[in-house]
Amino acid sequence: MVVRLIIGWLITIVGLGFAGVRIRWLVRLVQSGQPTTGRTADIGARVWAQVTEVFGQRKLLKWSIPGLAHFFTFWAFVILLTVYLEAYGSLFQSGFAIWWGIGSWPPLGFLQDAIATLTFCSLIVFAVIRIRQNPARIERKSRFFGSHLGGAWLVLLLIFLVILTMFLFRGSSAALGTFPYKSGAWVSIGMGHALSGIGTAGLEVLETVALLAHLAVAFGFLILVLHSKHLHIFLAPLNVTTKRLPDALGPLLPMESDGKPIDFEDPGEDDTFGRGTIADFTWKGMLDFETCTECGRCQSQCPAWNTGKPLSPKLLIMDLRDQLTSEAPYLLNGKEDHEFTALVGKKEDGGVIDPDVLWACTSCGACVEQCPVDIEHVDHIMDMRRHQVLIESEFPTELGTLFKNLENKGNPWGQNNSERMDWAKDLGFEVPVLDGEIPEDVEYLFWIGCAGAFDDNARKTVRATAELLHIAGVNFAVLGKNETCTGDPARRSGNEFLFQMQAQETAENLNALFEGREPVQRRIVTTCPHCLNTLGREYPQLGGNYTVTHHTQLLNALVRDGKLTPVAPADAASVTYHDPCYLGRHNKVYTPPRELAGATGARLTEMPRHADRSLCCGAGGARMWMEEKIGKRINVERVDEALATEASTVVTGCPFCKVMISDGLTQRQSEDKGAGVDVRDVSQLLLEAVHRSQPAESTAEQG
Amino acid sequence: MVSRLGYQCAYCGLRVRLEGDPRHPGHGVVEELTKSGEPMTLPGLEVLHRFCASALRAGSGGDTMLRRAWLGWVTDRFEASRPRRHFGIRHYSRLGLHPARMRAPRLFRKHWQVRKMRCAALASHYYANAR
Ligand code: SF4
Ligand code: SF4
Ligand SMILES: [Zn+2]
Repeated sequence: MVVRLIIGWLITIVGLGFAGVRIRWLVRLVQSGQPTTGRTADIGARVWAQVTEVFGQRKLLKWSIPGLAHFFTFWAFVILLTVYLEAYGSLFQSGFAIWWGIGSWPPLGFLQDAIATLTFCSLIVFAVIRIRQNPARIERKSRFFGSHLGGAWLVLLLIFLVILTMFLFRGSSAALGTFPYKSGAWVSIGMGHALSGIGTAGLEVLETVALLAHLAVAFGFLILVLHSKHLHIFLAPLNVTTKRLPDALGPLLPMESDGKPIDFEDPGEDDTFGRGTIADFTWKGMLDFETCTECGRCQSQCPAWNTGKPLSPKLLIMDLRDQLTSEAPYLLNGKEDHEFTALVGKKEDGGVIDPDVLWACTSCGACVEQCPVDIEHVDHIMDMRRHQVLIESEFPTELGTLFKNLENKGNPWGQNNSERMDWAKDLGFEVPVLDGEIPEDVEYLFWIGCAGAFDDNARKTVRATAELLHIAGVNFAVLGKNETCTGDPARRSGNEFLFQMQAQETAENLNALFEGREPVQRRIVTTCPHCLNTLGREYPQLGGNYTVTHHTQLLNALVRDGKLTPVAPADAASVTYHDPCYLGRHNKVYTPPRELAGATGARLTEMPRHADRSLCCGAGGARMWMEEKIGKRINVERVDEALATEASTVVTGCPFCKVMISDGLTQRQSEDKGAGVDVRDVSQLLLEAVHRSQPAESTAEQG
Repeated sequence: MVSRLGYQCAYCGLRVRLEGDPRHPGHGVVEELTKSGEPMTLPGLEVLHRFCASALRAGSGGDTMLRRAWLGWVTDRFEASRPRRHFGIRHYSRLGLHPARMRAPRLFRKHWQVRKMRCAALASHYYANAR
């Protein structure tokens, strides 16, 4: 008894000592990051995130089989703490039971054994997944490609040993008659029966050895966890608690230096502009890097990775973590005299993140949506782009043209503003153009957007929407040639300065336009999800508060209210719906466009990747304006998926998606695939259906 | 309104001042731009800021943001020196920065970029409602 007490405490002290050193190092490292704000506000929502995401494993359960396996393993960590309490008690007193009768209560014994058994089954599931997803065999298709594989297997082994030693310890004490649970703990008691053949002396030795091994495995596990990706066991709850609320999608954060927003009119010359080195990241960024579990869920969803490009959100986070580790000594002591490595650059020039990686991101948010530990990939990528553009002036050459067009002409196409109303020609009714304050009886400002104004394909959407609003009797007006770009392409390409210039001007003008109206009455409707996101969710950062609606939301409400009456055709067309990232994942609008498509009588067949797992069209993140030279084109990948549904029409709700998918389809049709298939906006389908009830009013061209 | 009233400078795209001190670098002047070779301007008479006209004659080039930054810098200088009735625009191309006077020469690039943004932001605001 004394020997086992001494050895037990030795194991504990040595284990805790090693763990303590490592924990202190990690805490100091994360604290060396820049300050950031808004990570503790709204405690209620944070507690709820903790309950649903950590204890409820909400995000993991999106993937049912591995999610369930992880659910059991997580709860085993919680429930088996009681077994560890019993193990420590047994160091002092043979047959120790948790006080107040809890430790002999059969349901607890049952729960302990049940969760351990379920975890054992989960380990088998994990092993099978790892074998099936072996990167050595399926390479990039594996979500574990690039992850540390050895460590993962070692952890599975250690969890197995935790369970094995637990049952040996409990089984031998059951056989010895010192096991506190007389029923309930069915595996342990069964094990006791199996071991009863060994004599008492043998059982006593077995019990002691199993108990000490049980403790030793736990500390071995603890130390391994603190030095590996399994750190997430401790960090994930922290990371989830300090995440962006409600999630790291939608608006980008304003640029901050030292925890304060940068005022471009009076920036400090030592301010940090974006993130150029690892030392520029905030503590939340550093916590993100340390928390990554290398599960590869993000990688498996990334459109760039899935089309053969070098960007994988997982590998990007892992590279940043490795850089954090390698520069940790300088972050911890002596930041001042050390020149930190520039992050973005080719490997051969000592770079950490290849420019091809950085600029491949479409900001689609699929990674953020899937990440079970709430890592904020898009923010980190955009912050590095900001540094490249604002300080290094290094960006793909095509973006130079984009910036020039935005600066000189106020739109990415470089068209003259005088052409902004060309879409409304021959519409058959007058579209009121505002000049000055918005009249009281005008309900909606119809924000056309640059695509709607200048792109032929998008003009059809805008025309159809205008006509539908007209038919429904909605009183709307437009800004005509007084509209300019909201700044989305500038912001997503890292040119935060240009975004601020454009957005401030537009916000000031919109505020003047809506003067005297409450934000809920400042209604804007737009056909472009990027404008929706920027006007509705980024302009509040600049003091512009409006109620912005996507046209599919408004049209859906009009159909429900009976203001529009679509009539289904005799033979229902089969359609498939492509979710625009900035409508779906970034702004959570999934049902209205689908309901609208349904209202037109179309038969909807979903693509395998849809709703929150939808695949990007390839245009977001200012990729629309860059060439796509590496791998398969993302839009072609998406078109292939759409064609596989055998739908005759691909519908969507974003002018950029429409352009990209139309381009992809044209390419496939030139290869004799997808003949007769077309791409339309939901509003075009609706207009056609509404025209069936009132053919005389048809004027808008269909396409 | 989201409108661009007034005259825009053919060189930097910001509005020109037509009232006040004619020596102001942002005061509007009319120039013939036949030899400029600038894609954004058509041959003929164009309105420019007084400073932009001289920068254009000096062949300073630069993208729009840099042109605005230069204008912002000289406007700032002009405003600062007004009480002394003395105004010079030397070093405008470096926006008043001297690599030799820097803590570390490698910082020049960063400081220059930051100064450029600051001056361009200043000019954009200063001339947003110019008349
Ligand atoms: S935002 Fe989209 S493209 Fe960018 S890394 Fe994440 S999944 Fe990949
Ligand atoms: S970033 Fe998130 S989703 Fe991607 S590998 Fe890491 S933990 Fe998994
Ligand atoms: Zn000028």
